[in-house]
Amino acid sequence: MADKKRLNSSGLGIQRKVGGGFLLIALVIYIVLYLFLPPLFAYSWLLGLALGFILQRSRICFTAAIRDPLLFGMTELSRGLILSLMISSLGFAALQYYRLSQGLSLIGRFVPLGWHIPIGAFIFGLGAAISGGCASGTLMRIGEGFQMQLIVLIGFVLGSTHGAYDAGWWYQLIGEQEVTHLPTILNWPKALLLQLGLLIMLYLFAYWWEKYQFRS
Amino acid sequence: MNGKLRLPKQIKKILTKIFVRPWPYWVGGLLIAIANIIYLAVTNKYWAITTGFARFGAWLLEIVGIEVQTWAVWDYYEYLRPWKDRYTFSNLGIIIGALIAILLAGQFKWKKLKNKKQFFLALGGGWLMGYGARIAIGCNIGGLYSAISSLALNGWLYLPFIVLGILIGSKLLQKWLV
Repeated sequence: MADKKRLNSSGLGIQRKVGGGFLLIALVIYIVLYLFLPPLFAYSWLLGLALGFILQRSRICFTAAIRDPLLFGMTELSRGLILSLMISSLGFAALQYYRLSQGLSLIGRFVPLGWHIPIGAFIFGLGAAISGGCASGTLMRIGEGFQMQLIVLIGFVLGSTHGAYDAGWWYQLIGEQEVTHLPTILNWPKALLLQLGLLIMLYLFAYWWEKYQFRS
Repeated sequence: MNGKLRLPKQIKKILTKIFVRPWPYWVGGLLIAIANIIYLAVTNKYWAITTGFARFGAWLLEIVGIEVQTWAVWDYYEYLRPWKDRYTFSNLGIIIGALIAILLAGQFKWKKLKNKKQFFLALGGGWLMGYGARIAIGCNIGGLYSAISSLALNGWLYLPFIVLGILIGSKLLQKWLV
């Protein structure tokens, strides 16, 4: 790589020092947030930092995870994310089960079903392919110094605001099915079996798909 | 003497592996899952991104005097100013976290826009993502990752259609660029 050649050891040292400086500032911000605002904001800041770090180090991009198997037959990234979903499902399920057994509310991301989901997801996918990144990938690449993703973000905010303005009309599509939590609809054993079964099948299919694409 | 020299070398090797070499995808996937589980356990909240973009954009309009609080969309999720919105903090965190990671690896570099075409693809693609995420109430994180992690049917409904969108979007892009 060209940029690797250009970096002599002293350039590397400067980058490391600046990086260390940013890390220190980030931790100070965490402490300030924790002391003066509701702890949720400090935890959210920390979550963002951790995820940004992980996404950058592992070069994880959701758009590539969906695009690469279809276009190039490569599924290693997809399988990494399917594995991630298996683990997070188990963790989320354990926390949900515990809370419900204690008489506490159900936690998680639930949206009533309706045509707004397929339509919105499709438009989102179009945009992700055209801009070459998803929401997490766009933010991560801004941190990496990509000017292009800064423009994507501007478009993203404009489109989000435009969508929020129009949303009242689109949300007429929201249907009757408000309960979307699989264990509530089915029961815990069936829901876990279905969820993990689907993820394992996707994983195996991805594995086979790559073998099939590169068979010769 | 030999032992003294060998230890730092091994540590250096480990540090290089963590901070310079890219991690295998499965390691990243595993750590993302763990981070999300801990966040849910501590805050009872899930990770999402784009609702924060919508609130931020609406707030900008509010500053220039446009009435945004009456929009029907806020019946579905609260209107919050950026500094009261947890997504502002997690979104900024992702940018800074990635910046720290790439600086520690010594690989930071400004990457400029190549041409006008790239500018419009970026702006248009971003716009479509924003608009679509508002309609579906979720992006690839809130609508897909956090939703499927929650064992939510809405996440599984989201998946085939984001796949379809990315497939068709990629084909369109290939045609335009050829």
